[in-house]
Amino acid sequence: MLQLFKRTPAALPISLGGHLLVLGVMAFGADWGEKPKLPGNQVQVIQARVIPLDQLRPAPEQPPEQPPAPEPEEEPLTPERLEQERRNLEALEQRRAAERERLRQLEQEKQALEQKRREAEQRRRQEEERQQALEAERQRELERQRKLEQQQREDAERRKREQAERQRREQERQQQEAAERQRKAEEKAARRQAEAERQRQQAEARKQAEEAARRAAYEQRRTETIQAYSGKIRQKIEGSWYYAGYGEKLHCEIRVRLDQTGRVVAAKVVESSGNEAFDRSAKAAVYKAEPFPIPEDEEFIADFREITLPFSVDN
Amino acid sequence: MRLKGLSNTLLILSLLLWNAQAAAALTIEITQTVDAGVPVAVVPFGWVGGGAGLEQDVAAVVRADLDRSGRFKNLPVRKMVAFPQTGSEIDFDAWRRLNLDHLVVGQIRPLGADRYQIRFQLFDVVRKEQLAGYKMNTTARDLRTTAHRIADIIFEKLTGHRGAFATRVAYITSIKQPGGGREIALNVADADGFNAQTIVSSPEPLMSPSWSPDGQRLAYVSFEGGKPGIYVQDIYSGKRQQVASFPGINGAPAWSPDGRRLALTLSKDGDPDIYVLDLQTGQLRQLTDHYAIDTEPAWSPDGRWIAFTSDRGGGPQIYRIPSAGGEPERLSFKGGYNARPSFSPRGDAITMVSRVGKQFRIGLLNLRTKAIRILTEGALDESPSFAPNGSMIIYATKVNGKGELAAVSVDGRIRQRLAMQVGDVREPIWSPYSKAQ
Repeated sequence: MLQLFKRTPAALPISLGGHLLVLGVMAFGADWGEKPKLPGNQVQVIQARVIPLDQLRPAPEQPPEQPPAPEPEEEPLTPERLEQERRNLEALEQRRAAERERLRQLEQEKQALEQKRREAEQRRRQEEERQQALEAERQRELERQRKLEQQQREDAERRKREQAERQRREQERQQQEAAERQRKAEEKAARRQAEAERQRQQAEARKQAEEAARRAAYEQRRTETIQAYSGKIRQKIEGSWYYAGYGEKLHCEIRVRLDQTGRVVAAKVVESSGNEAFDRSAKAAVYKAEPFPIPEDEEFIADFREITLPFSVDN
Repeated sequence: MRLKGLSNTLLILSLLLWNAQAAAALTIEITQTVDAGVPVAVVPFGWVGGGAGLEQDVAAVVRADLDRSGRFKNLPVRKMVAFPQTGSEIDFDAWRRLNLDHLVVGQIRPLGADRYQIRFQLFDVVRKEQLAGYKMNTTARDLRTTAHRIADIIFEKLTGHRGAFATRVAYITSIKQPGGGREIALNVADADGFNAQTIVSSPEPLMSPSWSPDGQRLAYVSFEGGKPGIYVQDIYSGKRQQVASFPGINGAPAWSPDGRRLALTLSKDGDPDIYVLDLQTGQLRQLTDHYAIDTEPAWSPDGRWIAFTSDRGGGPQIYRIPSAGGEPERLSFKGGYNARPSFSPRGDAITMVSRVGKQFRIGLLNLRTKAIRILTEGALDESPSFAPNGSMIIYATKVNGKGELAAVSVDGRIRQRLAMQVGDVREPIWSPYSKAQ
């Protein structure tokens, strides 16, 4: 590059001008056009080669819109020409200063705009925040209202419930009281009835005990009578019983029906021994024992109305 | 209220039940008969014909038979209140007042020369019922036998057992002769001891008569000729036959129930043993073989066993052996002396001579329980044998040193001496039911 600049001294200002233009575009271009839409907060790193300024000689400024001056023809250095040159320079300087001024003003405007934009943004944000706060306040208010209403509702319900509960309790209490009154009345009646029943049962038990005692006494008398007269009957029959057989074990059963006086109404061999003579001897003994000794007591005669007589020998 | 009603119902119900039970429940066990003979009256039989009637009192023979059995007790004629001859003439209540159970009335009607018809009736006095009524034709000679048959009918009707009055006994008598010595006789008499007839007599001993099962023949031992032999004799024809005459003892013949064989005691091979002789083939079979004395064989009624006396155990005891041969088995264990066995007709008992202290008495061995019951009270009772109906046992007993016939009821309750015999009586044996009659 340096060789290039040495060989062609005119290349330096051209190059410098180009660079400046690029720098200028770079410096303003971003603000002028639409802001590049960066995805998210990703930072685009611009790769630029940094050139140390001390190595550079000032390059002739060149307006970006101005095409490069054609290579001047080699002319002799006359005073007019010098003068001309100097005026050119001054004009250039002035344009440059104007340009700088314009840039500065642009910058200011841009800053002012930015400021305004920021302020607007600020205001918008503030407004938003205010709105939000308002909204939040409204929501809170709504919530408060809701809660209040809820609370009121609940309170109302609770009160209603409590009221119902109180009524229920009252009703219950009344019912219980009524039931209690009735129970007591019933208990009283039952006690009266139980007492009456108890007395009746006592009387009944007494009566039954007396009856049982009378019956027991009767049964005992009856048993004794039956035993006593059974013995008498046995004695009388055995005293009448003759049997001529021998050498056999025999058994027969005679059912006897007696009348009120102990006479034999009927005598029947209900189980035969198989030995006719034996059966007959037993039957004869029954008839010979007439009249049977039976109790005179009317109430026991029935017990002797029918008698089973098993006869047996083993000889 | 309900409780009361219920209890009342229960009470009534239980009373009803009690009554129902009571009606069926009164049961009185009767187990004792009067320990005496059945009261019976045999009214003298009426004579329906001319003249004085019969010498023989038929009713008296009947009465004696019934009395002798021990099962009856006759009303003596002198206590009789009337003498009815037929059922229509009986005033039952009058007889019943005498505590009579049974009444026998009868009539004898002549049917011609030495022929009579006997009509009799047996009544249950209490029930006023006729239990038996028969007409029987007979002759003067058979009047006693006919009377025994009437007694048999009455006996059977009132005991349930066949009567054995119309049977016989055989027995040996020994009569001193005027010239010293004795005449020994084998006799046959009616079971009541009447109508005795000698069927054989000898100056030498006669022993051990045994009836054939048909009651026609007797086997016995005779020492005629000085040595013992066994003879079989037909009692009606008198025909006889010697069936055994072996060296040594020929003794104690016993007829088998089928009548074809005799069991005997022979000592031909040394000691006395029991043999069985086939009467048709003459074949002899030895049944016992023991160095002790085996004698007095007796057949069981079913013919399966022969009981005998043996002293193989030390003293004489009763054994039995299968009649077809086998091992002897001892039957008597009580007492030191049991001999001369004879089976009951049912085969469930054996009568025998048992020594009690120093007395020889008639014992009854129950073959089921092996218990021995002593039936008599004599000092030298011997030779017992059963009546064919098993009701009595005939035996010989000594009265004042002289042998007499006696009979005892099987329960030992009634003992009676039979009609007096001449001489010293030994070895009676009761006949079987006679097929001839």
